[in-house]
Amino acid sequence: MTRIGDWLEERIALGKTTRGLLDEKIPGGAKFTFTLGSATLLTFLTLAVTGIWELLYYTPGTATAYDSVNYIRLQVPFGWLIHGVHHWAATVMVVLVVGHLLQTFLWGAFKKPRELTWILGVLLLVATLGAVFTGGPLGWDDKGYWAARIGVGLAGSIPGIGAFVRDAVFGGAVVGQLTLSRFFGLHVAVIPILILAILGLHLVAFRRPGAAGAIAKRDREGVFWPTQVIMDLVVFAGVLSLLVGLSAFLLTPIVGPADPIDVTYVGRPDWPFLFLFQLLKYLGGPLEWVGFVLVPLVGVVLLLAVPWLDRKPERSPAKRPLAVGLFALAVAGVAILGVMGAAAAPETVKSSTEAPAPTPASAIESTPTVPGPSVASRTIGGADHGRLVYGAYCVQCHGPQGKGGVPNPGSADGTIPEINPMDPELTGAEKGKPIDVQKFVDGVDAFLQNGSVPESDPETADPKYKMPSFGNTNAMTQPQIANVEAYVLQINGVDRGRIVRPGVEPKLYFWWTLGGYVLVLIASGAALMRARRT
Amino acid sequence: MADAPDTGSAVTRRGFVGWAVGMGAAFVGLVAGVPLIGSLISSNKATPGAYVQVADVALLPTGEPFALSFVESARDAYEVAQLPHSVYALKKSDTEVVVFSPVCPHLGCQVYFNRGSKTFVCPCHDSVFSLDGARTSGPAPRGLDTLPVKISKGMLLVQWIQYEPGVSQKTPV
Repeated sequence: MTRIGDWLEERIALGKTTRGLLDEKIPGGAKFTFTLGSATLLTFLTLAVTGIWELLYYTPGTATAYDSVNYIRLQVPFGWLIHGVHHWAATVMVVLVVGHLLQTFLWGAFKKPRELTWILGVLLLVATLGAVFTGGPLGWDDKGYWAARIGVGLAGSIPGIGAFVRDAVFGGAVVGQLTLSRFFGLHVAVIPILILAILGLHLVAFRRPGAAGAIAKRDREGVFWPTQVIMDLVVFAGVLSLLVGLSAFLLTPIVGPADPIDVTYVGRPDWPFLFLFQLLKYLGGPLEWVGFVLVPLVGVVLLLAVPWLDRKPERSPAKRPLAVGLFALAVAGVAILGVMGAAAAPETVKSSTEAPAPTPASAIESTPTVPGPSVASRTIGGADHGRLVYGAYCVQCHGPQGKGGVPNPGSADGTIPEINPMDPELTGAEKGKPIDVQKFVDGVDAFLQNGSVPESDPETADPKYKMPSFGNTNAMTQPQIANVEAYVLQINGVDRGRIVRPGVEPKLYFWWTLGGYVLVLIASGAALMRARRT
Repeated sequence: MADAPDTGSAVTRRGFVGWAVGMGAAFVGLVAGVPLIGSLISSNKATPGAYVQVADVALLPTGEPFALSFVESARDAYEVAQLPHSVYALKKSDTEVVVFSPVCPHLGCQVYFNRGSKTFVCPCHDSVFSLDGARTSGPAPRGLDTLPVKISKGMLLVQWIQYEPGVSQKTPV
């Protein structure tokens, strides 16, 4: 073993390099408050690893992207965890980057000779936000699709260069396959490579003058290894446990497939961009580009210029009231706008009064029955979204919650059938057997696609109401039908988006993780005490 | 030959070598860069579709916008996709129907018709349009776009066109 070690050492000096990295001096000694940067770095690596794993299943096509993501979440063992951790780590990464930046600002750690580290850090914040923005649409669900639509609309409305920017960055004005491909390329190649490159420079620029360390009590000097390493590990293990917990308890919501003509869903940007969304409400018309181009641009330029705007060598925040005050004001402004944007409107419009009544759909009922399984029946819809579609198209006849009871004179039953509980003949449910979800979906789907005429009462004429064909006439889109099907299953107690192959049950896996983390805490606590004594 | 400094000439040997390397680099940059940047400008233009039959005019309500949806087989880059579209048809008489695109001329969200206030409303940034499509409030730079229509043998035909959002002129994308 040592011979292999020696052989390597002779060629690439691995041990020497590692020792050099670990011997970093920390003025004032190791502290838990110095762990934000390393936690950000490790969260980025977590995103890289989970992202690469997702690439093994994901396909960036408009027809397959949505289904492939659902396949990862529901059918791939531990897919729920890999996708969940990637999803939540993006949020945690933004929080950590911003936290790292705020701390560096407050503690004056950006001051000479560390200006370059600060600049590279600001660029990393911008790149991180770019990764969040381009990652959202990749699942090609309704939220992602509309985020792309609005992003493309925004880019195109920049005066003068709008069309050029839009075509160059997003692949054209029409949101479709090329838009998805462009977002995919940016998210999985361009931005990660940029982040890696800037990150490398950020670390080199950081090591050159060394850690800034504590502001006061700098007489004691600590070393990175082992105390700071243990602290970094404790914090990151906590972040990882949190990510597992979020993935296990807050499964990423299934919002339904991209629907280009959907009026029941209101696009809202991902949370880091809510402040800009809110700002746009105040800057309408010709001033609009000021809101989403000039304000962010000026913000970034000001951030980059911080080391020159606040150039006195004094580091303590208490002794730089003007800089800290102005900065706090800017941060508060962004935060207030963000909270207002989040609270401004519900994610959906109440469509029950606005959407078309289904009756005249029969007026255009001329399309022949499409043979074979429909697109909707093979797509996992979003039940929450389906509830709104149900409210627009179905509730008039099938009643709230599908409880039925609406009279249908002339039909054999006398009322329109309830769909909660659903007729077992249609669901294929057999006593004592687990329900076959696909059979249930197919049963509901046939009615939604083709419609049906109820059996008539032999003594009277035809039934007053018949079920219109929603799918074949395009009265409803296939995404809408998929969502309604998910909702109909939900009110019948069946989860359309259940995890089929979890690997380990999500909650159980979290308890294991938590148990492991407690052990890490105990072990590192003991190690830290020991390190302190020596 | 000794490495004599050629003081008389304006171009030193070192300067010439630097200039030559720079030229070479510029050549490589241009040959590689021009096509790389050129290929980024995607030309995913929407080709105007054919007229699609969407409804029987006699069955449309008069004086109130009615949402109609239809599917059009259209080219999306290298794919032929079934693209769904929805429109609002406002029948004025059996021979006159105005068809609005529901794409908000602000940023391209989907407007809905509010039956209570008889207005079209965009849920994204609260632009409001009157029954005839004119903008009444909100950030939209123009009114709702009307689409080309034909009425043939009592059937309404619509041509789907997507217009540029965010600009005051109605221009196809």
